[in-house]
Parts: sequence; structure tokens; C-alpha cells
Amino acid sequence: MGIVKKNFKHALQIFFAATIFILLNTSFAACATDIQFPISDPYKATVFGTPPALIHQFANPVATKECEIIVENRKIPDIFWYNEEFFYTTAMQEEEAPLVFIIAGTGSEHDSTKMKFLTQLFYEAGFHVVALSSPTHMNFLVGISEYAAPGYVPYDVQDIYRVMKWIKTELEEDHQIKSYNITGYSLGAMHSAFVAKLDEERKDFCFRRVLMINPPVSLYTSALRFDSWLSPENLGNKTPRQVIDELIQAFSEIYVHSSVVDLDDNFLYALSKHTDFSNMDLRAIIAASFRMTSANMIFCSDVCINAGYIVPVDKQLSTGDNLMPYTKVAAAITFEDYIDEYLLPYLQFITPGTTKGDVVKNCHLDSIKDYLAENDKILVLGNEDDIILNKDDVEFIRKTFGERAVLFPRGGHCGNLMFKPFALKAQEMLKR
Amino acid sequence: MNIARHLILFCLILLLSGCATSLKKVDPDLALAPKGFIAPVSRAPVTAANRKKEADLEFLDVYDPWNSMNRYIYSFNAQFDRAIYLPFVDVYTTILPVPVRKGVTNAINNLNEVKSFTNGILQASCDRTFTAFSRFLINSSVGILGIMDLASDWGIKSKETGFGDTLGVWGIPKGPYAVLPFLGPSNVRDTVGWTGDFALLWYEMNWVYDLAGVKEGRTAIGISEATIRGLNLRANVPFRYYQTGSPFEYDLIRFLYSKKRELDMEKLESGTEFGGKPYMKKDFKTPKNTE
Repeated sequence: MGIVKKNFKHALQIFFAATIFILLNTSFAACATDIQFPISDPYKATVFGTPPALIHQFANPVATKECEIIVENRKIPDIFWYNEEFFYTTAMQEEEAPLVFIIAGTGSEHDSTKMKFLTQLFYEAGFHVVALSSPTHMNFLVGISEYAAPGYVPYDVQDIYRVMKWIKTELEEDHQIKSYNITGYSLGAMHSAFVAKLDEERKDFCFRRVLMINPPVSLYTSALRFDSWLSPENLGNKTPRQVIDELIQAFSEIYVHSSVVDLDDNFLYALSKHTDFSNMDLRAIIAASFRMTSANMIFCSDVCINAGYIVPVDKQLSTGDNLMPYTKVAAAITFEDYIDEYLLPYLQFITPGTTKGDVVKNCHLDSIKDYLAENDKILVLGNEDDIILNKDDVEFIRKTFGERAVLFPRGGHCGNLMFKPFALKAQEMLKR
Repeated sequence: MNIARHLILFCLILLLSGCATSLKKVDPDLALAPKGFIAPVSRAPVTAANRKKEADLEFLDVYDPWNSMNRYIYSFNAQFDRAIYLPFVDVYTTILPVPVRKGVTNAINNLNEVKSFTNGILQASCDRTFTAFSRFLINSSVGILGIMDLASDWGIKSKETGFGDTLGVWGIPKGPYAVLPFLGPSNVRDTVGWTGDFALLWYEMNWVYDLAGVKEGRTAIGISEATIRGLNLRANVPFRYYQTGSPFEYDLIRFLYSKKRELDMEKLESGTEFGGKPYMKKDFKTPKNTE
């Protein structure tokens, strides 16, 4: 009787073990398929982002706080009165916690959709969060930048570093901060790496973790890539204008023939499903959007330092002036032209002898390669099909960071940033 | 009453002072002092050669002969929004919890059905007239004076329309673009339309007060009602000035407003509004693509 009972118990144990094993196995299998991002076209992924149903949701989103810094006696041009304050976002934990700075991507501000998401994401992971606009965003450029000509990473990083130090001092008064961490996406990821490098000399933060999300390897080649997508060779028989017209046409079609009135994420998702859209030149759209960002930046910079590049030196712009003629000339400037005709001469004016080679090199991860390779605290999270990277760039990331680089097979450039598995990975890597 | 008033004022001051956490820094390096750098090449649109190189952005052009004045008003609106409007909206949204605000929005929308009904008739649109009529009837009765939007729950979605739309349907041209103080982007036709809407609202509210037997203090009630309308309207609009991060925001907004109104008119004329949320449907296609 006893033996039977014992055997039975044993059998039961085996049965349970087997069931659990099978369950685990299937759930692993399920995970493996779940992990695949649904949009296989990297350009589509970049433009439309994560389908709403697959976005990581926050159970208890925190109310963030918008803070501001005013640089006194700064000569801000009249037409930019609204940039007198430099804005940033904080989300602070009640108790002692590590703090993470997040740096936005090209042309983005501290509370853009992606930044809002990352702020909540890292707050949820237990961090105090400080979200900063990109130095390429007009609020940063006009409000707080020293040289007011973004695109040269060493100067941009000095600006970021100065602001971070001010914020650190301010926050330490009222909050307990366990450690400092830094992250950023796109150009912001590159900035984070260079900020960390700068901190090795200055030792104000002694970062615990640096997480680079979808970094470019070379700012210069990535920017040139975008510009090439607007070249006649790549557009075929179309002009950039025709591409934009088609885009507006598709938008209009959808708007008119539906009850959609809000341009939210769902609308974007609808666009991605729309037949008129699938045939469109997404590369050209991405490039056009980058060009608009760069036009904004070039115009702001020129007005701030009065260099006569876009606006004649003797022209004092006032609020009532029509800016359209300047928009049109600024939007025609490629990144290469910007460097050759404006940024490089300006850098040479500040530091005589600077060459174009210096500019390209100093905006390339290769210039801090040894530092990146040796420091275990620096991690990369990205995608293999990132459209701003070529094969060599992906190879560079793998080689330099080894196991510390996690690359998802799909997602394009930041397309899967809000995708649950990607977001959870980001949390895990920063906490690690 | 007096205590309540003081309490509100106190909360208001508290909130306003609580928001202002600005850090002031002095750094001579950051003064943006003129450095004397002049770009070796000028792209300024002052020579014919430079103009030739312009990007083709004509799609952004909108008939805007008063653009200088409009730009000043746009800038004024932005300042007003930052300094006064939004802080008050913050107080409003802090004092009233979400369900109460939802009720307020519903009640206001319900009163607006009278406008949609009237204009539905003027536009000779059975669909819009009938929708407004049934929504008003359902929500005013079962929806307790419009506080609950039961009609939407039952599948009768709002199709708001006003005098601006009516004038458009009648073929009146939209006229130049105009930025109105406090109210924002518009055009001449829509401005006339808003005046019409406002006049109708005036009569409507007097009719409501008659029904409710309010004889005295109509002005005070009217002002309170208008204030709540204004706060509620702003609270429901996520737009923030200069959040586009573009120095050319005026031009972008002008384009978007004009395009949206143009498409609204197309929508009205083709009568293709349909209910539900089509963008949630998979692979939805426009009629053009479906045979």
C-alpha cells in the first residue's frame, strides 16, 4: 500500500515536472515568436513606429514636471522670444533612487512622444528621470547653447554637460540620488557616449550605466545618407515636391473618407495600412522630414549668430516678417553644404586650423572606440536593420561592444522603441 | 460663498507659484554676444541666383495678404496662452476631476447641437439635421440635460457643423487667412461663420434662461458660462504654441488649418462621413480604391 502510494506520488511528481517543462517550453517558443516586430520593412517601421496594440503600457504613469532654466543677459533675437527659457522634464521618485538623464534624438524636444515614453519607461524601472531636448532642437540652440551651431558633437556635448551639471546641483538639494546614468536615442545616444567620455576627465557624474539606443556610428555618413535619398538618382523620375504632394494627397484621402479627426498614433497606424501609402517612397519622406529639421536648425543658428548665411547680416527680423523666403532657401541646403559653407568655417573661426577631417572624425564613434570597447558600463540597444547604419556600421557596433550590444532583427530606426520586448530590454539593460 | 471664493483664490495662487520653478544662471560665455563670424557663402534669398536654388515648398503657400498683422497676433496669442490661458486651464483641470469635466464637455456639446441642427437645415442636409435633432433629444432627456452623451453610446455620433460650413456649402469663397486675437487661425468666411454661431448661441442661451425661469443676473451667468466654455475648450485641445520646434510654425499651422478646412468642405459636400473608427479596421481602403 505504502509502496503504491509512494510510486503514485513519484509518478505525480514526474507528471508535474513534465507538464511544467512542456509549459515552459511552449511559453519559450511563444516568446521567441512574440519577440518578432511585425513590420519587416525598416523604412515602414521607422515612419509608422509600433502598432498601438504592441506598445508597452504603463500601469501607473507618473505626472512629470516641466522645469526651466533662464540664462540671464543672453541676447536672444526678438523673433525667438519664446525660447528665453530652456525647458526640460523631470520625473522624480519619492525615495532614494538612481537618476537617468535622457537625451533626445535629432530635432526632438524633451517632451516629444518618444521622450515622454522613455521618461515613463525609466521611471517605471525605478529611476529618477531628467529628459533633455536635443542640442539640435531650437529651444536648446536658442536658449542655452554656447556656440549656437549644432552638429559638431564635441561642442554639443559640452553644452549638454553644462546643463546636466546645473540640473544635478539643483536636484541634489531636494532628492536623494544613488547614482548617475545616461541614455539617449538616435543622435542622443551618440551624445550620451561622448558625455560619458567627457565625464571621465571631469568626474562630475561618474556614470554607473550608459545606454545607447539606436545610435548612429557616424553622424556625417548618416546625414549624407538621408540627403542622398532626395537626389534625382534615388527619386527616379520624381521631384521631392511630387513625393510631398503624394503624401499630402494620401493624408487628405484618408481624412476626407473617414471620421478621423485626431492625428494620433492610431491614425499613423491607419496610414501604414493604407493602400495609397504602401507604394510611396518612404525613404524620401524620411529624408524630407530630416531636411525640414535641419532647415529649422540652420535658420535658428544663423539668426542667433547673425552670420548672414540665410538672413542678410543687416536684416533685423521682427515678429511680423514673412519667414517663408528663408524657409525655402534653408530647406534646399544639404547637410554637406551646411558643413562646408557654414559649420566648418565657423569652427575654423573659433579654432583656426580645424579641418573637415576633424569634424567628420570627432562626430564618429570611432574617435572614442577604445573607451567604448573597454568600458563595461556602456551598452547598446538597437536594430540590425536600422536605416541609418550600413553593414560596416553594424559590424563596428558588434566588434566594439561585443556582448554589450543587443540588436533586434527588425525595427528600423527607433521604429520599435515602444515595442514591449524592446522597451523591457531597455529597462533591464539600464538596471543591470 | 465668500470662504469658497477665498479658497479657490488661494489654490490658484498656490498652483501658480508652484509651477514657476525657474533656475537662473549667469554665464558670460552663454551671452550669445556677437562674435563677428560671417559665413563665406550667403544663401540669403536676396539674389536671383540664390532664389533659383530654393526648395519647392509652394504647397505651403496660402492666400495671406495680412500676414504681417497675423504674425503679430499669432505671437500675441502664444504669449496670452502661456501667461494666462494655460495657467487658468491648469487650475480648472486641477479643481474639476475628469468625470466632471467630461460632463461639462458633454453638456456644452449638447447645447451646440442646436447650432448643428440649424446649420443642417441651412445646408439642406437631412443627415446632419436629423443627427443633431436626435442627439439633442436623447441627450437632453435621458442624458440628463446633456451631461451624459448616451447618443454616442448608441451609435449616433456627433456631426458638428456651423455657419462657417454653411457659408462654404453655399459657395462663398473662404477669403484671406486671418489669425484672430484669442481665437487663433481662421479665414474671413470662418470668422463670419463664428459670429453667426455666437449670435445663435446668444439667442439659444436666452431661450434656456427663459425655460429655467432665470430673470435676474443673466449677465453674470452668461459670463460664467462663457468662461467655462473657454476653459473647457482649451483643456480639450492638446495644441501648445511652439511645440513643433520649428521657427516656421506660423507657416505650418497656416497650411494645416487651411488644408483641414478645405478637406472639411470636401467631406461635407461628398457626404462621406461615416461613423465608428475606421482607422481601427484593418486594411481599410478609400472608396477610390475599392471597385
